[in-house]
Amino acid sequence: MEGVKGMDIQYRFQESENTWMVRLIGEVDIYNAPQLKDSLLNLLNERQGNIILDCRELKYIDSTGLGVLISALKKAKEFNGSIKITNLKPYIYKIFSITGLDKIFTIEVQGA
Amino acid sequence: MKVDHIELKLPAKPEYILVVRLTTSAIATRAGFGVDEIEDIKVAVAEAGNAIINQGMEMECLNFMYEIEGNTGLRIHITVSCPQDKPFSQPDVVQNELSLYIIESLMDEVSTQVSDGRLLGVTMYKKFGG
Repeated sequence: MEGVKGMDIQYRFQESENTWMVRLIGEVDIYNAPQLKDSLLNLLNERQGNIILDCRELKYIDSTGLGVLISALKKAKEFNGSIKITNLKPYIYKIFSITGLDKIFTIEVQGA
Repeated sequence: MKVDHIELKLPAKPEYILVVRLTTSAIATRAGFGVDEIEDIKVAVAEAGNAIINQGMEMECLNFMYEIEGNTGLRIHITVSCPQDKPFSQPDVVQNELSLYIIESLMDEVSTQVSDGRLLGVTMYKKFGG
């Protein structure tokens, strides 16, 4: 389910919470980050809601992936939306922590 | 001190960074690092590749040289081969600073080789049990 680029996303819009429920699967890196950026920005253009990003199947994300999440957050904030990151593995949370992004995003870590 | 050398040469293209991650993990495992340290080294080496590729200059290949230094640590040199007469577009400075910040946070020693504003190399070191 990770697609030819090592990453896949699944999504549905939850009307009652005005929120995109997005599952991020696989590894996000410099190769597939542009694809993720297009997908998230297209969702926010389609419906101006919040995003809950379920990362239970995310195995890796690099700085270009973090840049994509920042871009999506900026877009969401244009209409007072938010992005919440859930089920993040502790070793991936470390990257958010050392870059200070744990203070910008609401994050729930697996097993915490 | 006994040093084992391993070299990896890849096209300087985003699609090959996955190969760098897998190879680096295998070498760090072979060297004897623990799970958390292997993850740190893998992330740092991939970010160095990102930082070099993100400069938008015409490159031929990325070179990764790993030196397992006895029972003290692992030193990694990342360099790029590029035609010197080719112009390069403006690098993504913010993205590259983020990459270098991550590398410095995860590794014990980091140095960069810069020429005319181009990042041409990164050397990093992780000591065992550090």
